[in-house]
Amino acid sequence: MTMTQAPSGSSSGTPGGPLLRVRDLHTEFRSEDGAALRAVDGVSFDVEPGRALAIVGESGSGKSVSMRSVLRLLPRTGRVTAGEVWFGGQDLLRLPERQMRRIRGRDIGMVFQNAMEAMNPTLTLERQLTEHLLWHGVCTKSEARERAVRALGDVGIPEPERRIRVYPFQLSGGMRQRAMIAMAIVTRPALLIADEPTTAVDVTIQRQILDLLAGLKDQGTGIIMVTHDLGVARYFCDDSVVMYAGRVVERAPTRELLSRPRHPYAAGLLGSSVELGSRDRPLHPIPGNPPDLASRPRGCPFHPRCDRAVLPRCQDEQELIQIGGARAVACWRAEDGHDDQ
Amino acid sequence: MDVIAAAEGLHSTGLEPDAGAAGAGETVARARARGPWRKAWDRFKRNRLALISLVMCGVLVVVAFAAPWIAPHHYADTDYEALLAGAGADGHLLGTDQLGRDILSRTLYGLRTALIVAFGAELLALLCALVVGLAAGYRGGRAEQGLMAFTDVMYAFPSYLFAIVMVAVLGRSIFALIVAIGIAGWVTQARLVRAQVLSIKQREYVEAARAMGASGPTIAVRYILPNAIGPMLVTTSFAIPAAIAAEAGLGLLGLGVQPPTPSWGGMISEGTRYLLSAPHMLLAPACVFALALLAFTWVGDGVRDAFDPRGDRR
Amino acid sequence: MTTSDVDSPGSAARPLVAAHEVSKVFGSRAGEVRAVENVSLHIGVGETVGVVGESGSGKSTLARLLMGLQPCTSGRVEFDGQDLATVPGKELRVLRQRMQMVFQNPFGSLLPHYSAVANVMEPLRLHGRGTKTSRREQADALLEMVGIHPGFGELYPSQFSGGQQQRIAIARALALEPDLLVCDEPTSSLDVSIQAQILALLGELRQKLGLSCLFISHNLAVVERLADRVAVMSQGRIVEEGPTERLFEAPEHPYTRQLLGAVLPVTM
Repeated sequence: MTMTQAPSGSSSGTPGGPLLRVRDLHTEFRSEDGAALRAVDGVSFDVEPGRALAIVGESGSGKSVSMRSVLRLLPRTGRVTAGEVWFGGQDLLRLPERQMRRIRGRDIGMVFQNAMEAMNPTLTLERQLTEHLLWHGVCTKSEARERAVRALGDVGIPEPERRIRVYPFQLSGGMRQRAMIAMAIVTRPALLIADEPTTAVDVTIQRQILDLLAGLKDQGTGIIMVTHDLGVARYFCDDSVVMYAGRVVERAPTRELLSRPRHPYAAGLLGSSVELGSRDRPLHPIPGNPPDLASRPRGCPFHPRCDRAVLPRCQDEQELIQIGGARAVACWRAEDGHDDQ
Repeated sequence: MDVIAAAEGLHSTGLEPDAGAAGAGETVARARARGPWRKAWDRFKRNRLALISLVMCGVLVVVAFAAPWIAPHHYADTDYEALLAGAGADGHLLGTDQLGRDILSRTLYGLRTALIVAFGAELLALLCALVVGLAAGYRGGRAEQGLMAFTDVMYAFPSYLFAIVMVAVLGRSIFALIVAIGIAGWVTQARLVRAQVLSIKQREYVEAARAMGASGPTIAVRYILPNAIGPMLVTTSFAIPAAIAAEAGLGLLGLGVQPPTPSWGGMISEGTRYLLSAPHMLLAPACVFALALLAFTWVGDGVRDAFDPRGDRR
Repeated sequence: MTTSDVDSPGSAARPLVAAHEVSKVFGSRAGEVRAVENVSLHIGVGETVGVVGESGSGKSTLARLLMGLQPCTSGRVEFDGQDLATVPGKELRVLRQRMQMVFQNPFGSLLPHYSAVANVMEPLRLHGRGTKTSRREQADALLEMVGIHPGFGELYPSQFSGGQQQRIAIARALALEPDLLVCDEPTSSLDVSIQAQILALLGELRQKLGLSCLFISHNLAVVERLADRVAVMSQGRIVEEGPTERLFEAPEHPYTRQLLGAVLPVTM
């Protein structure tokens, strides 16, 4: 499916246009038996400087694959088959790998779920941070150490002068996650992509990390936060994109999305979330399971699980349509109103 | 992880079936049970080279055990009319050796010796390894200390030297070779089983089994062993060509089976003496030897890829 | 064993399991790790007790001590009046029929080389219950109860999604009709929408079967939803314990307050 309209609230407000503009991204994986599996199917979104975008979805929704497609870090079986990724005036998908390597880690920082796997266990933080800076030619050797220490201090690691000499495994989980964020921001990237950065840490540390990222956002960094946790999206992200089976099903400012979801899947996610103080509110789980990539339902991928689906209408392709303001939803029934929810 | 598409027909929240369950009947038929073994076989089948090699190995095994019936001559029959006859000589397709014995027949019987020794030795090694490795890995304690101490000694001792000693003690029989090669190889395998068991022991299903009330032996044999066999199969399938080579190597050193029973090592050793005058003596056993080694190694490759958990991830 | 059990809903009943000042110390090269320290906790018949805490707080170890899967370093655990430490191994295995467990990682906890239905039949087989046919029938019924069509019973665990695997694990845990179900982070590895399905299922089953439950989670909202009484663990100790509503509305211990304060709201 193709996107006909640009996402709202994009270039119009900001003079320089969005920081990152993803258009109609398609990514396929080759399965063991040679079949092509469409993991990302026509995804478009914008990221503005100084704002955070949540990409919300469950496992298999294509949210992480979309990010890896943007960064061109797909495993060998994966391939971007169509789309554009505009960043800094160039289409990243058409850049030679050498130039892409310069952008990755310097202009676009990355934070992953598991810091232990993302860092080199055999090098001290100092080596990793300074080599990173020097490799990207961000600063001179004499400045590198100072900048590295400052980055560690910025992410709230106490005594950065001393801590910079330790190895990643000598840090606690929360500190390690911070060190990885320091690694991602030491080059002062314009865009930060965080893939479930707080899923593996405790709630108290989650809060600290989100507050830390909020500080970066205030300084003008654009942030993409991949998450399955609506609480994280609500706390941290200005805008949200909800993905299901490789597609964007709804896009909206986060608060509007959570107070009045328009897509039945987004509403279902909300009805499934357990939150404090909701003991007496009955849970409304979405029935069934997300579809397998190999056998996606025809038309709206959510229709077999949707209580509002009307056949055969929902078996037709449904594009993301603008529904006023900054919102878009890929459900033809969204126009019917939602008083029955 | 392959989540079946058909699973959409499953019930939703549990106690009461939802609408989707109605259609489950037809989807059930579509979903095919694929256990770990089935998956491994499916992956193995996709590897063309491994599949061809497996067929080749099968042919070799059949030929080896049918040797008494398909070999044109007995391996010890001498034909004094045709000493060192070249390939294609009357009644001797691949020629004869210095005693007039039929090379083709001797190669076939040599194949039989090699395979009996290799399979026997690996079976012995595997059995020892499973018993000791399982005990050491699961129980720990003295069994583990003993195994570890023993392996250190075995590692320090060159395995060929060990085999030579064994053959010297037990005599030059097929049985002696099986024991010599098997004993030299089982320690490595036992350590591997132990490592496997230790890692499987950490898996949640072992704890779950304890929580169900399973006893130690049940856990070791019913839950841990079957899951350790895949990786063991991989090492065994690589150990077989190694054992074939070891048997030939001992034969080359004159420590193979008692002549006149043919072994490839012995045949190659004799062949090198007549290399210039009768190169066919060396060529036939060497070629079949190489073929067997390649085929078994490629099967090993296929087995490894089939059980490699990395193939399961995406 | 404090005043809190006087007003908790389930405590009128006699305790099914009770831990008396249990401690667990793990020895390691780096020194001793005190995973659980001097903890007392009981679960009444038909009661659901939640234990919350962050990673490393000792909550999972406590569950294993209560199940008798690990011996206590000191203190004792009584199940229905019997001290687990004094029960000989064979009888302990028999006793285990009455307490079953659901684990965090459903795929890891199912036997990979057994089909779904064989996994559910396994506890019945282990304890020699019924014949092969009756076990099969029972397993089919259990699968049906947790929402897996028995027609899928022949499939292997890896062929199911995470939520379905957890359903199968729950069916297996219920096969022996236990009195106590210990759930160790049963929904933590599942997606939001699947987590809701499993929570709904556990809630229904608990009521229908009159189970006593120990529910362990780092997710406070999940525990708030299911538990009658909650214990908050930190660094191996229970820092606060009380009826769910009281504890969540008026937390007393600073750590409980800190935990509750860190939870991010979704709609409120």
